[in-house]
Amino acid sequence: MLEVVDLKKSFGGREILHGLNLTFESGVYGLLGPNGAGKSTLMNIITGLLRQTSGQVLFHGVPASDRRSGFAAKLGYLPQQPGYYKNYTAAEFLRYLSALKGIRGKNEAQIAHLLEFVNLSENADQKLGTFSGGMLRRAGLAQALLGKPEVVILDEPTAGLDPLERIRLRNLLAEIAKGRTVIVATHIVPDVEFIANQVILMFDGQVRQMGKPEELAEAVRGQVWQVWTDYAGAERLSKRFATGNLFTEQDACVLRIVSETQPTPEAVPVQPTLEDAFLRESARR
Amino acid sequence: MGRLFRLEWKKLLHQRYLLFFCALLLAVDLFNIYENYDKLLRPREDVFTVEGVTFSVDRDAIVLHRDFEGPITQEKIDRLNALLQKAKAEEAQIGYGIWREGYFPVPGVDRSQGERLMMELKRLTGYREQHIQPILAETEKLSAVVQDGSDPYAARMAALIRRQYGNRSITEFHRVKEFEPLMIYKLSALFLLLLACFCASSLFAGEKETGMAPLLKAAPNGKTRLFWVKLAALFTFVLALGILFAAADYGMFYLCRRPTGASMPFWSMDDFADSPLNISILGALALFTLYRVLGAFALALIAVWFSSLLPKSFPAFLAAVLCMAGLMLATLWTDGFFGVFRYFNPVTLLISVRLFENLRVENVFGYPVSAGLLALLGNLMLAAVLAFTARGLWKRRA
Amino acid sequence: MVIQELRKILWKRKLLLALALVLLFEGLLAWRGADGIFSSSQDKRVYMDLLQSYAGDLTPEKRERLDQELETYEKAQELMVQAEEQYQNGELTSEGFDARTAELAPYRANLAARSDFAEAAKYAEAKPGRTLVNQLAWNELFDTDRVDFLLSVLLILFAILAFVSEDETDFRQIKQTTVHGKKAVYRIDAVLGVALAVLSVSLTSLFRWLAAGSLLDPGSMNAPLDSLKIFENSPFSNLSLAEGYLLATGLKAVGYTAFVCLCFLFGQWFRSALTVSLAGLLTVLLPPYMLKAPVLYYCSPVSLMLSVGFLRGDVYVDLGGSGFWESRAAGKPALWISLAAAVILILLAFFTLGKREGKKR
Repeated sequence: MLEVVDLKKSFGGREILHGLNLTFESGVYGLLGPNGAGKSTLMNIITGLLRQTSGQVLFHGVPASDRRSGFAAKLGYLPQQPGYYKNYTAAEFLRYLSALKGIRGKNEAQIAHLLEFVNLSENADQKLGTFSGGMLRRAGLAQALLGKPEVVILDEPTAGLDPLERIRLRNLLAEIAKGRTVIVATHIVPDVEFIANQVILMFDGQVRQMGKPEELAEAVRGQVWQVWTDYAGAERLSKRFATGNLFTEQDACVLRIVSETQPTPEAVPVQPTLEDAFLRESARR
Repeated sequence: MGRLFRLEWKKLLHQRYLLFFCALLLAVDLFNIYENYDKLLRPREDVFTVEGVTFSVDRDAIVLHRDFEGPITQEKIDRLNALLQKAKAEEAQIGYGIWREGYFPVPGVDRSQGERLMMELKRLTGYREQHIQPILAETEKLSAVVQDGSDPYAARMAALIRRQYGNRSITEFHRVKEFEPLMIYKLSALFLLLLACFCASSLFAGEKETGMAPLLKAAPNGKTRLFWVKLAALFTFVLALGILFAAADYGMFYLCRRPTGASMPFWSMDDFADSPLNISILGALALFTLYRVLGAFALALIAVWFSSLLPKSFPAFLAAVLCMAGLMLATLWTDGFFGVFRYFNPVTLLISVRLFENLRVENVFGYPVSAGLLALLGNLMLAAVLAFTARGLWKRRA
Repeated sequence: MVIQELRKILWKRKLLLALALVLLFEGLLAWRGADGIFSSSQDKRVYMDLLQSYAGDLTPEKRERLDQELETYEKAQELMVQAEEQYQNGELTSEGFDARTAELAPYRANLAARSDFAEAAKYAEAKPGRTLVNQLAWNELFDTDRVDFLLSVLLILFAILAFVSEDETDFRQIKQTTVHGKKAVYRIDAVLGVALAVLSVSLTSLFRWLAAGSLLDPGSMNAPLDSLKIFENSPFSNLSLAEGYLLATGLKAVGYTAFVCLCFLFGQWFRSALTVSLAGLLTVLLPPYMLKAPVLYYCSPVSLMLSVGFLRGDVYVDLGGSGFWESRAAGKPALWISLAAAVILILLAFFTLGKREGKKR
């Protein structure tokens, strides 16, 4: 179990994280928030890359920074912009990371298994410098899974990937979550909507909401509307309300608006989604 | 283009630690001058006074020299002579000169400041007769031999010598000798070289490292124009640094040794009495600074070349430094390279004063052309070749 | 982990190639240096013949024999000087001068070698305990003491590849979340850097020893250090020449180790490969200019990189002119300061590596 207790972080007098309290057990946790919400800062503190101003990160009740906690050996991490050794092959790269992670022995079986898991077995002897973005992310995921970690932290894992790669990666994440804690920090709602057991909505360094995706979506039932209007009306409504979606249909604009009150008399309530919950919190800033 | 040029300059100025290193090297340079050439800034030792005139054995007697600055007259020479004789009589002396009590100079080797001043005055007054007349006499002999026009090169050489040396004479004394170490001072050239290579690597290879290269090349300005703008920014930056170092060196030398007579001819200095340069000392300093900047720039083009070839800035920088070290060693071992290659060696521009110590010319299609000019042209050609090939590499590989 | 790091730096990042090139060049330089001791093969033959006959303790009997052998040549030189004066005064015609020169030529051959040997003999007999040794060959080993620029560049390159490259590629983030990635791998890299410094210094010293070795008479290995004129005032006169060379090599190894550790620290502070390159180069280039104040000079690694100065002692007479990187003569107290500074630098590097937080992005 991973706990974050009253975690604060300040940079140059500005408070980035405002006393966060979170508990992570096994399953997929989606950390959702806009750019600058503090997601990466939280991830970096949990992984030990940054030091917190105050508060604690506990792993099974022991501070994660303490060697006795054994957190480093149980952690798998994929940063937002991971660096790679371009002239290493995928297999060599995993071997190197195995050594870094203190995995004893050659670990060839696990490396082969992971490469197959992320669908890179055929590219095992290819240099990382020749990999596409999606392949690199999968290689990154493979290294994060080395050593059978209990906690896997992924910071914006699908950034820059095409839709097919994103779906593939999402499915992989769902698979690896069995018996471990997977924390996915992202600002792309669909990345976590279908796979996360718990979603944490984070804005301005604070947790606004936490719960199952469907629960968070349900919380905004009756506040999500669909409106048909003309262009001028669409512009007017967009400025006034939190607008989730806007498309044109036969010379009319169709808007999806999140609002506690009916935005126009013609507005029709629709089934809420997680994105709508995200939008509502965003509008409350 | 102007805006782009300014932005490239800004990029250089914002290069991390560049200004710090410039300041550090400037400080080291000035400190080195102070340590090696200081005469004034530290308390003087071994100073004694005779008849109100201050003499010293190892350090400059500024008062003594100041009394004799300006037009050289017989009255001044007689006065100095009388002073020296008086001092010799009053102190326990060895040889011709003034020595402090208890100091035993090596006859014929050690000379007091008074004696050195007398020698300098005599050298200056006799400059035309003892130095120039023999050169002109030899030239006349040469002209007489080739009057039939059978050797046009010799005739042109004779005419050149007459032109360069014919009108020379020195009638004034100034402390120009104190400029001599400044002329051959090389440390700031080495620093300029390092900084130039650093800037070149960061400006060219740095774009690839930051990932900006694709964005820059997709921009309307185009790869070629961008390359030339960067090169122009590099050159002007090196020029600015060169001028800064030169001005700082001059200032520090002035503080330490108080030279006078910057407007005196370059050849009025003993070490450069044979120089063909008919410009003032200050003009010569400016010329050597320009040569030095061009030499540093030509060598920095090696760094540009490597920066265009290699993906990162630091291997480009190290490769350029190694090339320069190799070039300097080769220059040292071969005394400047063999034959015509010496004029394509940027290191000769860094130590350009050697090109103008005496009349060094080459026979270029029957015309005597000064080595200094040839070195300049040769290195400009080398710089052009390096620049164009680097441009091609940068466009293709970056 | 050690094997992985070695593989990463030496093989994947091609430092092994750079090392091989540097060692090859050092070997060539060593050979060139040894080859250039004598200006001609005849000079070499004459000198070595004399050495074979007279090396070792210069007994009065040996001295007498040597004097007799050299007398003819010294006399020939005097006669030549006389002939030159006579020619200048007009007492000797041009043909006469040429004839005299031809007559004396065989006795004036290899004059440089003979006079070098005579100087060495004169020095050896000046003080009891000194031995007549091959001054030229030993000088080549000791006196051509310069900061090895190529080796310095190699070590700077290592520091960049081991410490800075990771930061620039953001691999640091992954590395620092692993078990060994926080400290252990940095210390391993530091140890590898130190090993590289020690190995390179040892090999380059070995190359020079091998290159000059054939010119060294075996007996001179145990000759006291002050048998060599440059060590006339050495505080280590109780050491033999071979021991002195070992000591100089050892001190140099410490110096280069301190230098590579300083480059590690530059890597931590500057986080930019280009800046670390420049800082490393300036560390090697600046001290002779910047650090005239003795204490500052001896606190920089360069003082140990030019270790021969410590063997010279602080009462050193400059024999051939001071060059840019030539070692500065110093006594034992200066050596202790230098060693202490080097140890502090090495410890600082080992204990602070990896502690600084990553680059802010």
